[in-house]
Amino acid sequence: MRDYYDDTWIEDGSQPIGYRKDGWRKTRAVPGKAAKDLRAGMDIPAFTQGPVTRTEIVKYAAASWDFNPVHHDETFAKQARSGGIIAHGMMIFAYLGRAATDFLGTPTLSKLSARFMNVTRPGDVLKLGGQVESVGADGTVVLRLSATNQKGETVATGVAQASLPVS
Amino acid sequence: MTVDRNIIGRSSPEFFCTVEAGKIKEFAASIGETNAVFWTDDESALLAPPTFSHIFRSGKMELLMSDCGLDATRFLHGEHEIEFHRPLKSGDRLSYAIRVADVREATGKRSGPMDIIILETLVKDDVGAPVQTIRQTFVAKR
Repeated sequence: MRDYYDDTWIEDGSQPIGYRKDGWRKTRAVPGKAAKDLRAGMDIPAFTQGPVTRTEIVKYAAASWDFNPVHHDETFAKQARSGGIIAHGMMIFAYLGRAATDFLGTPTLSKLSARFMNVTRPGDVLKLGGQVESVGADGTVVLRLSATNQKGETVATGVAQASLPVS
Repeated sequence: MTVDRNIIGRSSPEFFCTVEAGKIKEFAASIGETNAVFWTDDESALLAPPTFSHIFRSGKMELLMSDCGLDATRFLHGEHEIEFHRPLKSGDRLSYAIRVADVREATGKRSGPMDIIILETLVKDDVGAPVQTIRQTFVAKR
């Protein structure tokens, strides 16, 4: 059985370019990690997210039921303090969560936090990454996460904590 | 305008919701998540991504602030912290209330005096066991 929540409509920047021909969303298995595989100071492999599109922001609004018009209504957003459409901070937080669960190889964290520092606008390209902060003898791993934009500004920082198998 | 510290301890009503498999996948699609654990068709094994709990709470923080006599549009979401007591999964029946945990003043180097409000949500399952504790910090310039 397949699900219909699929990214079939794709965009290139602001120009929609049509439907994907390869059908259903492809998922991937994320291999698990043990605490012995990790060392404090180790880099989390960075990944790029974006350019962020209005379509993605609207998808996040619908999925999260967060319909503050500053995230989808250009006319409203231009009059607001943001001066235009901005992405939800929680959308960036979700990317930080993805960086943590992908790197640690577990969907189950014990803590995740974020501090929001700059806004994200359509067209921005984010780089997600971070470092291993500490690895405890009991398997407790703490990560420092960050999202930066193409101008080098820090959009958000975060901390993730999880309990991994020791070996 | 300073924020009245008497609002500390004020709470929203209790809210209820059920975590649905389709909503988890819709959320996963919206954040570009392709990790198979958030997409399995085995509903009893389907886990929610870490920040999923925002979706059933969105807008309610602003309602609580309005109930406390505050203009929610003045406040920016500065920080968000989630403590996971157990994994959140498809089929979970949840209850939660949002509480004003603290009200503070601070002075920013560039921004000057600010009001800070910390809202805390305890999410519980249908037998009352804790699932997540969420703390959100909202900041407004004077």
